[in-house]
Amino acid sequence: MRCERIETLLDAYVDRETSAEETAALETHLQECPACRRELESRRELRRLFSGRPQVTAPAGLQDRIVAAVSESEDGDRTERRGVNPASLRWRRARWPLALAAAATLAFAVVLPSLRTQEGGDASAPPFTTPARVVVPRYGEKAGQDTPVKFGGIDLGRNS
Amino acid sequence: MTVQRMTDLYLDGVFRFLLSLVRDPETAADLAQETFLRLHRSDRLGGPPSEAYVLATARNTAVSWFRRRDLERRHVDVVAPEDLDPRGAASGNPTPDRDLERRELGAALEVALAGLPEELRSVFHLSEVEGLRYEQIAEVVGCPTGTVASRKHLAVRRLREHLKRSGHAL
Repeated sequence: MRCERIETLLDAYVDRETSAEETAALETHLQECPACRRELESRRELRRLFSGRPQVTAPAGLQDRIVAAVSESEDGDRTERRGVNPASLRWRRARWPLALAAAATLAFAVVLPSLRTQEGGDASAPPFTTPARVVVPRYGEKAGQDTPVKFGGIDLGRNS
Repeated sequence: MTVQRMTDLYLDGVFRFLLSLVRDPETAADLAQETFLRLHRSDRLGGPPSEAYVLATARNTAVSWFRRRDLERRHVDVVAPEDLDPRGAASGNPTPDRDLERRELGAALEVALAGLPEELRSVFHLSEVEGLRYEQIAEVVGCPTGTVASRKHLAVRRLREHLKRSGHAL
């Protein structure tokens, strides 16, 4: 192994994170290379410096503060859950779909009977999927004078 | 797992990690509280969290905080560890000379660490201070294990360069 490669592996070696093959190659190289041994020693010195630092711990009182905050959060959750009636929540969520369904039902209830009562309608006329078409008097024609009125291909009668 | 038990196990490590990221003890304490609130909510569905999961949650909490604030403020307010923890400063009964030397070197290390980008600082802290394996660090920071190794190597190189410039060559 070359020194450049050894240098990139030294930190992992100090952390005991090199593979068995890498460790064996490193140790062989280190026995023969004083420069890389010095590099290794400087890494170990840096580690010693860090391990000699005073260990920072959480401030006194922080644990109690966190336990109280979690407890408060749980109380808040319970209050929130109690404050909303599940039945009213379901009704609120279902309100708009129900309103749309009611509107559609009402529309059919009003339009369908009026179309079905036109017995004289054109039997060959397409179903209601055809775009609605209302024949209105042309400009200059007198309205209500034998003007056919159609809706969806069904003759709705004549204006008279 | 109760929050009391969770904080017994992990609070010091979470606080240290957050402090290494945000460089301000009060903010670190606030974020530690937020971290354990998050952990408590997620704990309702599962068993005890691993140390890596706890530290990953702490990191995500810090990332959210950074996003809410000006990112430039990360490198301000460098604080020596002796000023953060009176218990740490009182331990060991050092002589005045050794104490001064230790404080100088400690301050130099803190400044050097503070100058590292977050991704290098996190890896270095989790490895050197918390003693996590590379595989665990990969879980915390969300990158492959090989990336952890290269970030650790780069962090050490930059720290040594910084210490050398400040007269503390290793």
